[in-house]
Amino acid sequence: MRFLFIFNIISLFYFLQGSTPINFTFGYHAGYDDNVMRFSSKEISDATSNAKHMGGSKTFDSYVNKIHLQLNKSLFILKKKELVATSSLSISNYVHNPNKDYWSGNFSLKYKWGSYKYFRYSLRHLNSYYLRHYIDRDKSINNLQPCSFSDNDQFISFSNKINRKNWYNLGIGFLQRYYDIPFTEFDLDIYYVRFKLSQKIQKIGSISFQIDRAVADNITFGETAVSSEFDRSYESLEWYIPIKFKSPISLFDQIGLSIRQELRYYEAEASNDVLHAGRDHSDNKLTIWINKDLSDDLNVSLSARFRQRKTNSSYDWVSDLKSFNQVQLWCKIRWGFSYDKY
Amino acid sequence: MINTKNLYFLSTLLLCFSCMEPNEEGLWSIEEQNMFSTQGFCRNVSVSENIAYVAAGQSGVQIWDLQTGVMLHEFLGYSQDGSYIEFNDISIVQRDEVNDLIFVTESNKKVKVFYYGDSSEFVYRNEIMSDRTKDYISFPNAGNKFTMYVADNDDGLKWGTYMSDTTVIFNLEIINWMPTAGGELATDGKPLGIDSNGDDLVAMAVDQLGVEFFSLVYDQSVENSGGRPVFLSKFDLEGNAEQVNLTEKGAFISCDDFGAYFLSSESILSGEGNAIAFAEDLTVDHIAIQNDIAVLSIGPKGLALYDVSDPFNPISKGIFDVGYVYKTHFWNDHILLCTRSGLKISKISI
Repeated sequence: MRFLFIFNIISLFYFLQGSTPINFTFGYHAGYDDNVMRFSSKEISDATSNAKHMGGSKTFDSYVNKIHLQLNKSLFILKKKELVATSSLSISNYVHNPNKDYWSGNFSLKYKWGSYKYFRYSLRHLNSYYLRHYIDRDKSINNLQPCSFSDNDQFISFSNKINRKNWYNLGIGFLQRYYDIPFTEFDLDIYYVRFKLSQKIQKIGSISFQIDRAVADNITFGETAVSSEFDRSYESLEWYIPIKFKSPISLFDQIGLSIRQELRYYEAEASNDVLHAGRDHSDNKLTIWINKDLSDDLNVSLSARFRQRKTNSSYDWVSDLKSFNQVQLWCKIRWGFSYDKY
Repeated sequence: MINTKNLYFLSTLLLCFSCMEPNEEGLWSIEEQNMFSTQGFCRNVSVSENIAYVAAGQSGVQIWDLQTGVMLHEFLGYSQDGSYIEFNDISIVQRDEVNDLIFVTESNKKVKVFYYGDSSEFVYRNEIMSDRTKDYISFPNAGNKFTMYVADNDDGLKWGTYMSDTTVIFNLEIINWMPTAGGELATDGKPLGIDSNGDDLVAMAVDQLGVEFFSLVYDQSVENSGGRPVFLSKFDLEGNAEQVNLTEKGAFISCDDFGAYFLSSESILSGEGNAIAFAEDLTVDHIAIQNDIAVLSIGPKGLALYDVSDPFNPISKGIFDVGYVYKTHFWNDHILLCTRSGLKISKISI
């Protein structure tokens, strides 16, 4: 259904009668993920004796192919005022772990009235994103089933200029994270607010600071069978600092670095729910990238992301089980062009 | 400029599709409505209308009014030949409303027959069958008689038709229930559970050797009004067959360490065909069936519910942690759970 929706939007753009061009961006991303199923060190060392946890995959890592298509069109322009619609679609293929294949789409409407001044509504959909195989405790005590979820994220944001160099962005979002059958007991409604402050540094680049505060409500808590007796609700605080530098050498145009940390606290306190009770974690991500515009239409970027999740629990086995490290490498090639009917 | 009609269309699409509905897993739910604390483990229950006769383990035999939640009587022991004998650990209780009897069995012992009539006196009559009785089922017959079929762990299938016999000694009236017909059929396996439709079929779970079926033959004699079992068929199953439940569609067998099986009536009669396995990863102690709902007692894990409207394809409807469950019994549109913490009255929502 959602695929059709995204497809409809794309078609709509194509057939719209208008005097503005449609801007296309086509991208191919080649990637590598060293820990696709986010296994902890202990799980990796135990994998030979617990092969069924691999969900049929023979490797922990995988190469990734991703195709990305984005359309962008101004629906309305009057002096500085502009209404811009954007839609994108990505299809990802995990070469060594087909369970992980997924698609995602995005649609946004942005009303601008000047530089850094806009309202934006965005709708993002992530379809059936596989995590790994888990035991469906609602129906079984040891049978593993693939666990996937879909995200539907709506976000309304407002951006405004503070002065020539600084601007801010304020937004609220509603993310529905609903799991595929049979793991509906994990369903979450996540409400979040976001504040981002950005500064342009003359001749150097830019720096931003973003903070997200989220409350996740486990909407199926107590609604189904035995597994729903555990409350997966949580609260989280995430901060994010991206820094972009203009490259001092001609080999590439931009160098970037970002740090992101999510601190999550589970609300469960039930003594029989040792997996969640009193658990918290910090999820740290460091990303570095370089960009190069090969031509006006063609851009290449290389990036690496290092992720470490540290879980704290009263139970050592929970800490060991839920902590993991992950490295992702990406090479992204983007080709942008415009289609103007007139 | 854009045609504004398209903008309206776009907005409508956005509103229609902007929220996502959760996936519906189709699991059932179970709600506890009342809990009767039996003190000892509630191992078994026999229901007659709204009265529950409870095997309360070391707390003896208890009689509860299910509607009011009041314990009407508790019998921790009985008088025999002038002595008071305490129950040790009651495992099975069964009510015979027609003959005003309660059958009581302690673990691995004989079946004790008690009179329990309008006066609410609990009077010991005598013992029937033999030691190592694991399970039994009885049916009242015309002429103040009853027929009982017993899963005897060391002897096989025992049955007998009993009638009361009154002897007067020194002006003392002694009433015993004496067999008028009966016998036993040796089985290969070790009987653990038994069920019968009281008409033409007896089924017996025989531990490692699966399940055996017997047809009931009536010889028109007054003494054997309950029918004589004759071997019909048997099916070897994985795991240890503990209990069997006969329904119109066939038999549901609970197996330790290997879940549950369904055997169709056609297979039972022909002795051919495959048993349908389900809940394979559960240790199933007992199955109760009503209106295509199968309630599997899975001991410390609680209950598992299955939709058996198509018994050849049972569909799991969820596992529910309701305590340590030994057995369940349908009572009207409720389910009675025999648990370690007592007798629970719950309701299943589909």
